[in-house]
Amino acid sequence: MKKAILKYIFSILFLSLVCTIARGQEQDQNDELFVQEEIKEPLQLKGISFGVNIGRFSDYVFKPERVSYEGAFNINLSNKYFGIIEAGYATTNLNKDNYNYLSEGYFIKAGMDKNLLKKYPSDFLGIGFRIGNSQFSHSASNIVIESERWETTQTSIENESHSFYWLEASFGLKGEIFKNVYLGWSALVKINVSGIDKDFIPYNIPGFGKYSGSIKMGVNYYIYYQIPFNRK
Amino acid sequence: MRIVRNIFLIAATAIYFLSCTSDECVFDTETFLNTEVNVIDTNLIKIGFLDSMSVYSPAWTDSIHYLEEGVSKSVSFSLSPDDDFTEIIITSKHATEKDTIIFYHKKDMVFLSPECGFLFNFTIDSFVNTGNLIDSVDLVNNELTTDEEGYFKIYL
Repeated sequence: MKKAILKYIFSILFLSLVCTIARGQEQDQNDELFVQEEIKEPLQLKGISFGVNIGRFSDYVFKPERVSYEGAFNINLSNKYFGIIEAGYATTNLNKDNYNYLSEGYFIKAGMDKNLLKKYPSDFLGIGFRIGNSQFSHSASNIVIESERWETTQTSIENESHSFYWLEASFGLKGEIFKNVYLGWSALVKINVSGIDKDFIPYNIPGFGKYSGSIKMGVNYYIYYQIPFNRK
Repeated sequence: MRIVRNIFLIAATAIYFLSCTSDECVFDTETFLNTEVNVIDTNLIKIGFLDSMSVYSPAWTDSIHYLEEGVSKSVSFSLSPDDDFTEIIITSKHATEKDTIIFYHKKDMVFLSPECGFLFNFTIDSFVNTGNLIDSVDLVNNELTTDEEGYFKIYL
């Protein structure tokens, strides 16, 4: 309960931070209106990028029961807007004393990022929005339910397939560490919008992560290679 | 800008590791029916019925003794996960008679959490009881979950 309350507080603080940054940027734009008229240039394709979520590889050490891969493709428009598609695959094979759990599935996320930086246009500090969908199946075997006074029950749950949707807001940084190679991270707030089967809550939803409530915080670490276009 | 970026990278790493959750189960892994026993009969009060009260089921290997496990005139027990009914017998060391209550119920297996695993929630559909000592009964809450215990009142 305490953990859930903390998560909500962090979610509110995070959203407040995002709103403050966005409003600050809006204020700056308003100020500029009185100084000089901004010349709006049409959006220009600056590059396409392919990325890998390197944070997923930490699972080998910290969550050995989980194997997941995630890649991204994005279109850079004037270093200001980024159209993004992220997709991945995840399996979980969890062996506990009182049950074995198996899940497998895919996910896809689509959305966009907005760069709030003006001074360093090749870097990125900004906000983003995604909608995600995960298609996965899971099952449990060797379920042991112990009781203080009744005999121990042993059972299993057959494979079940599910479709799960969520919305995601992000705040992140990305910097060019070598020519056309970018490293970055983003802090995420994910909100479940499709409900969940409360009788058999998934241990890990591909793309969404370990399910512990409708709102989940997370961090992504990405490395990108950008094929530049129209670079001055 | 690079300094700021490095600071954020370190902060993000810290957040990532802090976000790792505990692997211990911190919830009850069994659901209970809280049964309140109200002794109104003066003869039963005189023989100290409640203090020497025992509750058991023929399927158990032991009994619940009020003096050891009871709190505020109540004892809690779980329902049978193997059958769709649970037979409970109430007696007292100093009483010559006993009463039997049979709860008819259905169960749902739910995944409590990755740390705790699975458990059964119960819904009591109906019940029957003998009336040797029992004057009346009241099923206040028929849902047994980890969020809320079932609640049954007995008047003797």
